[in-house]
Amino acid sequence: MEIKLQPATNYERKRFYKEEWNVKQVPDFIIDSLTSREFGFDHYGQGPNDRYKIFPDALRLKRFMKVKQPFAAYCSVAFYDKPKQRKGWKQSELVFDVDAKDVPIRTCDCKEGEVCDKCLNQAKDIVLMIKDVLKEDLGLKNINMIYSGRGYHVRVLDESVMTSSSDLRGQIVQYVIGAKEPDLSNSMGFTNLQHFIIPYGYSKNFTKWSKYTILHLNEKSKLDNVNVKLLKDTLKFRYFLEDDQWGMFRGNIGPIRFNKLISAVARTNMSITDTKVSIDLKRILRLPSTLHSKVSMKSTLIKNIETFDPFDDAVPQFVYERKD
Amino acid sequence: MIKNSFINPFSNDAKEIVSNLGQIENLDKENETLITIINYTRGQLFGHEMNLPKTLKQLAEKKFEWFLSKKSDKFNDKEYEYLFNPEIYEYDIVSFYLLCQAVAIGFGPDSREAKQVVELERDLIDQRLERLKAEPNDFQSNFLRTTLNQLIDTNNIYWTDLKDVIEMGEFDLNNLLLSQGRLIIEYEDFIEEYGDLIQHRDPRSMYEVTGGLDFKSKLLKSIIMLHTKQYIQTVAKMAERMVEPNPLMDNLAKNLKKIQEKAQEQKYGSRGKSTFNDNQPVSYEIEAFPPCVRKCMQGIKSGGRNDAIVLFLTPFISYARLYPGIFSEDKNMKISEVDHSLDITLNEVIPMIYDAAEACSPPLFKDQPQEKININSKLGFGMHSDLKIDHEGETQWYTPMSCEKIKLHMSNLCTPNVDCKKIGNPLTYYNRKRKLMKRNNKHNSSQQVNNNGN
Repeated sequence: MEIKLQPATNYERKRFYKEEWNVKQVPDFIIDSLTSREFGFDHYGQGPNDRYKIFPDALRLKRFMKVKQPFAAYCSVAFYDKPKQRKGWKQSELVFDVDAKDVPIRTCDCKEGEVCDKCLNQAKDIVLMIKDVLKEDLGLKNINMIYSGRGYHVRVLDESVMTSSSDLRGQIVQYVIGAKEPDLSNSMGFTNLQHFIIPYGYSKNFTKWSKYTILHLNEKSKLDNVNVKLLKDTLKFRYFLEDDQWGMFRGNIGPIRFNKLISAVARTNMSITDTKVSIDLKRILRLPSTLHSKVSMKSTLIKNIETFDPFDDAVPQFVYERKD
Repeated sequence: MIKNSFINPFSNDAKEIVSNLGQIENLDKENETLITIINYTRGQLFGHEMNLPKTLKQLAEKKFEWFLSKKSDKFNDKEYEYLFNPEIYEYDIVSFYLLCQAVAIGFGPDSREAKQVVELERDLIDQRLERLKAEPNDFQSNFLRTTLNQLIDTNNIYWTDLKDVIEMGEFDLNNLLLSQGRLIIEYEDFIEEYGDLIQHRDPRSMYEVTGGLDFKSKLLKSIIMLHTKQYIQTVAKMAERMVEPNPLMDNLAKNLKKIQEKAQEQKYGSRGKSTFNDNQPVSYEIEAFPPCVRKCMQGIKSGGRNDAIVLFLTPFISYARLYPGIFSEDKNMKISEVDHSLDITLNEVIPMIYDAAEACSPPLFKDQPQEKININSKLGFGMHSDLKIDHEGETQWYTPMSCEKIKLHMSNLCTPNVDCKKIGNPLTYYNRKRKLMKRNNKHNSSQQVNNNGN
């Protein structure tokens, strides 16, 4: 059955919360810190304006959801001493928000603001790459991946990063998504050093993301400072990158134009996730288990990202029962 | 033999040195050995006007003076050569602690002076390490390893242990070699971790290029800066319980203030009038606006409208018109100090911001009229719908955000051109470009005069 990402009706939403939603589906990492978090709700589809809510236990959360059946439900990534006043900030999850509609180089034919299975898959690939860097490079372990309805959230709860400042989070994001050109200046006097000849550290990561971005470009792609001719040549010679022959690719593009392209790619990489979400210490994020009413999908904690398919694992029952 | 304490005031033997030399009654007494070391420092410039330090307290003052006057035109580094004589290490350590205590007690841990002492230590270590480069590579390597290992275990440290150091901003997370969170610092760990990946290249060179001595030096500097900052905080906390500060500390703090004022005078006095030209309202020169501002003024299509207009454009437009030279001075401004009647603000600054808001799609105030209040707030007039002088000071007049911050918050705005490479803030870009345009105009008009045969 083809799943249409269309808004849920009021009736469908009510049915979802009455029959399908279960407080036990709220992830443990939220339930375990329930009393420290601020909750926010959108009751009419106009944004989350019912904020500063708290729940002393899962039972009260359950009652609230069953009675209010909100259009959207959110909870803070921050832990507070007094969540009702958003005071006494203690720590915040480190979050990466990958929205399929905002992936910078989309290969599908979606209109602006829309998503399809192709761009959702692309978002999933990105999430997998993010997870790898978080684990392999940064050594983080408590990484939770959530399907948000129109993309993915990566929520990191390692104590060692939860007290980080906004500035440090900004640096972590830049590292994880390869959003900054590597600093290759050195005291050895090597002036022609390239990121792709360094097979470790951030350079390796940057090379990996740059390859991803370049391989996803198409004739319609728009990159700052990259003119039609350079884009055309990039597409023409990018087959070298499939075998990691960066030297050949650079040789064919030309060193000056290569630098121009790489700077543009670094800036494009910056839009892979919503950086504002990552550096905001007091953000609220969609509560996993609840309904994304604009697309009729269920925000879901992912147990196995390799096998997860939103169109199998995050579709509410009422969608299957729709007549049209 | 260069001692670790010459670089690291937190080394193991530093405590001993402080307990031997640091008795309060000795700090303001002439010290013969110190005088001898200074007199026998190779390359040291002498002269009456220099007032070379004779006591440990004076040495602390001189270090502060060295740091503040470094950027002035009249600065001569040979006057302070003794600071780089390794034999001074014992006195240097005591003067370091003296300085930290004086700023902690006299000005507090969050003061400008405390920040300056932290930066002073960084610059001092930087120059000392620079001179260490004259030593053989092996010596440097061993020296750095021993010195660093007195602060951290270089074979077993995780980047999360150094979070505070990274947050100080002396180096980026991107400069670290990380494996499963562990920081690869030493050559043997580098080879074990990445040796197999390196082909057709010399692993030693690869290590030196991507880490090695350079990285160790940066790391060492940053860790010492952090420890200095923390030490000042600790002293300040302890000082809260003190009934009366020691008169010597009090006197040192007063002298530091005088040195600061003198350095300020020198800095601005030596630059001529042009420095002050930007510290008053100047007409807009739209041609000199950086690409991000131009893009924002053309309107933001979707997403991020609020931040672009309120957080980014409002500070830029207001400072560019009223006080473009804000970054040349270390102070907080109020609009009324330069625009007493708020005429310029109401008739030029606000309309320009509102025009950009109107150009957004959809127009910003159409669905979010409350953003007008936020604009007033960023100009320093509190959270009010009307911009009134009575409300001024309820909030702060926001300074324009740096390019780094723009990239993070509003990456879509940043489309750098060649000139952007030279600057780190859009307002600096604007000032630089205006100066260049002025110079070019002068040049062109004088050329025209020549061409006309006059």
